[in-house]
Amino acid sequence: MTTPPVLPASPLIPLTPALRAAYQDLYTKYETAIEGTNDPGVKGALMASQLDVDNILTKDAMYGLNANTALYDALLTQINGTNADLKTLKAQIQAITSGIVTFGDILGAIDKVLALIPA
Amino acid sequence: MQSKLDPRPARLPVPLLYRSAMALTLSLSLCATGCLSPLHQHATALAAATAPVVDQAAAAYSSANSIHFMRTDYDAIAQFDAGTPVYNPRTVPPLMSAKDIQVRLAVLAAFQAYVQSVVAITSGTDSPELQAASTSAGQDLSSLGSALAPSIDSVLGIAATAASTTVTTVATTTGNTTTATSTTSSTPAAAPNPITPTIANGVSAAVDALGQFLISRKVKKELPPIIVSMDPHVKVLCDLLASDITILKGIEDRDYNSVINRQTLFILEPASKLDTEERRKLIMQLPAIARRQQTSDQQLTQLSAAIVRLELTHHALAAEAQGNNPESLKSKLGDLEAAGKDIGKFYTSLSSD
Repeated sequence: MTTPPVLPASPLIPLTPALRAAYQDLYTKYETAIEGTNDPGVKGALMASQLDVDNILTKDAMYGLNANTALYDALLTQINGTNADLKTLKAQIQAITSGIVTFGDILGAIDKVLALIPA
Repeated sequence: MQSKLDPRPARLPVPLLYRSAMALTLSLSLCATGCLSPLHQHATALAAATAPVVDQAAAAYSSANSIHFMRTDYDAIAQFDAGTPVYNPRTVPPLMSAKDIQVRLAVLAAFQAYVQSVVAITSGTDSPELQAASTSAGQDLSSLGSALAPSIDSVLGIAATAASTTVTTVATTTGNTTTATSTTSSTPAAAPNPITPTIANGVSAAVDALGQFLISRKVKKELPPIIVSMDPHVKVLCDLLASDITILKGIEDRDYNSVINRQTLFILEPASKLDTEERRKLIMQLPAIARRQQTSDQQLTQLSAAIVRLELTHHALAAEAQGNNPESLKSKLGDLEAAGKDIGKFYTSLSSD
């Protein structure tokens, strides 16, 4: 196994893209080494080291999910605004149909009045 | 042809009135349906592209949480034995909180409502409600004609013409003599309804086409700006979903690796003191976990592709709304034919009533 690059043990979260890629690369190297040995001592030691890197990547990921949550919140307001516009448009379309119904109702009403007037 | 002596008001000959109504009907209807159909097709495609994203994204969040729970269960063994910090199962956080998942599902539900509204509005020119209202208007016009006819005749002083004559013959036999007595009676004809069923149906179809035209004009004016203004939000939504998927892919991959590695180490360690049967069972669980890892990865890859498709589909809808789609003209020509068939179907349904 090649010597892993020196990375900060407690980096600032969120990671920069370069640092994230470096930690991901280190994680993958540990994983390859873990999968390549059946020696429980070596495997256990590698897993303990990999766990530190895993924890940093997971913290960074959870930070990312949280940040996305705030953005989703903002987006929800925008989409709800658009849906309100569409609701208004639907009501206007309904009003056109109601206009046709009113036309029929007026004809029906005239018909009733005429029926009451003796010819 | 109208007689010079006939004092009745001139009426349009039925075939001419009928042809006029149908010409108006067809021209309005072709315009209405032809204008909106490409939008409706794009909206329907968008609905088809949205459904898998909504379903799969909801499943992906739930699945990511349950895989992470499985990992934390395996982590618990080592953390419990570590001593410090003292392991407390109550403080183990989920990957995504209820709020994290709730807001994502709310956004997806709101987006789905948007898509459903667009589909409904673009198909709204030929709604059953409008057809019912148009049919009713035609029928009301017909009954109005029947009420008006005698009034018109009465106002204009037209005597009711004898329409039918009935001759009744009664035979009386007295002894060998039979006497026949005939009585003649006339029944005045009912005044003819100026609104024949053909005209009423024509008017219904024309009213329906007029309604479709008015709705189409409203939709064509109001909907495109809404769709176009939504396009950047859809891009943001798709970018956020793609970002979520990238993050979840990384977490799930590490979670599965952790589970497999911990299980493997447990089997390998002599301190585990597994008997043959227990060892065999635990080893057999490993490929099943690996298969689940592959399946989860494939599902997230599919979801990524569905998100890209969704963004492109909405973008095509926005382009259509702006009139930037070169396929529109070809599509509109096809719609003209379809509109003619639609109005024909509606008219036929009236005639058979």
